[in-house]
Amino acid sequence: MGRIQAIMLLLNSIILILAALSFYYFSRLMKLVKVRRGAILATSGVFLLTGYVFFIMPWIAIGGAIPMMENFSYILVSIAFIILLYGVSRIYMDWKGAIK
Amino acid sequence: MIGEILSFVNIILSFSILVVILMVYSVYRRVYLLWFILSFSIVPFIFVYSLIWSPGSPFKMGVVVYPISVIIIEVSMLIAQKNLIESIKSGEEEEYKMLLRDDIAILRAYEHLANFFIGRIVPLIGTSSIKELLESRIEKHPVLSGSFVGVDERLNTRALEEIVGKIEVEEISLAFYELISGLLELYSAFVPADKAIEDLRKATEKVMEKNAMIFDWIAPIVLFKTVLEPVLRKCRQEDIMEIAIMVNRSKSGIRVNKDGKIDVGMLYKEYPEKEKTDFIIDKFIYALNKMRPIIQQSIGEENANSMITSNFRKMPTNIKERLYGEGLVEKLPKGILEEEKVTLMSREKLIEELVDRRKKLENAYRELAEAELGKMKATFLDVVAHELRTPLTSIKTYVELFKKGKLGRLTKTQKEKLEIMEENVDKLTNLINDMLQIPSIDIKELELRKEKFPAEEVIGEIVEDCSTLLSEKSMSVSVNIPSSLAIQGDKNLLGKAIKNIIGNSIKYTPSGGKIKISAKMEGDKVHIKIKDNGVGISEDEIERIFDPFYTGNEKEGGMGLGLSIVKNIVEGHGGKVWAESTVGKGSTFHLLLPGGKND
Repeated sequence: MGRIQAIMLLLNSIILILAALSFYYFSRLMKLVKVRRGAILATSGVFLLTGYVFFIMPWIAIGGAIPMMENFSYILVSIAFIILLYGVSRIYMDWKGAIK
Repeated sequence: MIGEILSFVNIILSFSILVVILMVYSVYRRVYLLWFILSFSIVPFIFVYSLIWSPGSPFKMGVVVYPISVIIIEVSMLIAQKNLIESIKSGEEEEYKMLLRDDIAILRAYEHLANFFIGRIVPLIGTSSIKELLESRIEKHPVLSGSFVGVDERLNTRALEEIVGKIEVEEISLAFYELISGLLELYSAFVPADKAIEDLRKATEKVMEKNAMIFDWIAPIVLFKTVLEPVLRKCRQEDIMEIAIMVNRSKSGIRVNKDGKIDVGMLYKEYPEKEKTDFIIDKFIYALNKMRPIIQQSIGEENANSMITSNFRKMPTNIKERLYGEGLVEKLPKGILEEEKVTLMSREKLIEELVDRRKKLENAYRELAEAELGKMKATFLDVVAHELRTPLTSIKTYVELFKKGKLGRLTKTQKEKLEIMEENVDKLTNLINDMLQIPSIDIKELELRKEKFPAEEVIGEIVEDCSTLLSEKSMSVSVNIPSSLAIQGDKNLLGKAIKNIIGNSIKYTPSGGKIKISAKMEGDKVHIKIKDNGVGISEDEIERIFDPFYTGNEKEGGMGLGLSIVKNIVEGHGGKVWAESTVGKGSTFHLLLPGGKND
């Protein structure tokens, strides 16, 4: 295993732990708030993570990039962003109503 | 190339997301939103970096920028979420009211309410009784399982929050209602009942301040326990028993025990899906209407109404405003919260009421002003008439002395002039005598002079007196009065009044005219009608003809006192006088006088 692969493995392990922790807080938060857009945000999160995995996997596995996989990961991230944009817009509308 | 286009698209999308989060922050400035902003501000730079740095670059380690950026984003997100959770949990923050789920908000409100009383009971008897009470309630309502009184001597329901979404709010409310009722009962054992109720008011007000979602669930407690229960406790034991039997058999949804304590638990089981407030108000009004007659009988109507009104006014302001806003006041029976009823009337009703009251006030002012003016007029006339009569008597005496030659001999011309002088003195004296009739007749004096006399006889005499005038104008008079009719009153005064009207009719009827006088009994009054076919009175004048000094027809002369004297005499007898007329066709004067049948 090359140096880059080792570093990437280590950093991405941290990312996974933080993602799990974030998911835990997210599920607790969704239990408390009445503005419920949890499903949208969670879907977006899944696409983002999958996109990231496709992007980073070649670096961990072979220590370099595979352009096809990189493009695919960008597409997944774009989908995630579109969903997320819809989600935060709805949250903005809901909160605006709740705050009024 | 595709990778670059996609990176560009992602830059735009991530910027858009950042803008929306900034918009949220602009309306609602909170620290946790700043953390979200921080995390999302990194995202566009990752894609900008991907455009600059390529995997083929000699600096291979540049790839670590991606995981490091993601770690920063994740840490920021974690901090933001943690911050948000803490804000929602803290009852002091705005998020508690705005973002907290309704069922959890209600659960927390019950927890606050219970802790309010626990905080007061613990210094008195410690926590053991509270723990026993909680255990007994958990046995009855397993929904409370997991709730406990911690070392901080406070009720903790966090375990319940985990499953709250799976339980009906009605079930939670019933369980907590029973727990809180038990705590209230425990507290009442150590403090006076009034103090316990006062604390219940304070507690519910605080809980409502924290989250108004609880309103529908605590409204029955506030209404029945703080408004009705204190009144029930003032009733006699046998009356409480009577109320209990009647209410417990009814569909009120509440139970009353022998001590006058009200249990509203059943209401939670019957709660409708929607319009809960209407349901509570209707149940309360129903129960109040059932209990009120017995309460009134027990402690007196006025006392009962005033106690219920006072308890309503003592209700927590935030709960009172909601209940009043939902139409409770309008539904309350008469005698309770009367002032509030006027205040809370609809705008239209209020305007109507104000217009009505204004009219009444204006009428009262006008009547007062007229009365004052009438009084002043009467005093003035009285003074003037008396002051004039004295010198006139003296003039008259001297005129008579001159005529009799006691003050020296007079020539023929002087005697003629003296005759004219005497005639005018007599006219002036009569006028003054008329003026003296205008001031109000002294009723007491009148009582002494009252007698029963035949109407036919008096009117016959008057017609006889007027015969010269009638024959001068070739007028005819027909009299149709049953001989059995009698008038009750001062014969002289009433005769004068009738004579004035007949005189008036003669005056304003052209030669050859007719006058019809008739009378009949109407209840205990004699209704006399004097009808002529004279010139008549116009519509705008008819209301003023009874005013002193009003002269409709200047040509006929006179001071305009005759009819005002009539009015004064008739009203002094408790009677009524009015006129109907058509210009050119004649007038009819109506006199309604006290009377009866001849003995």
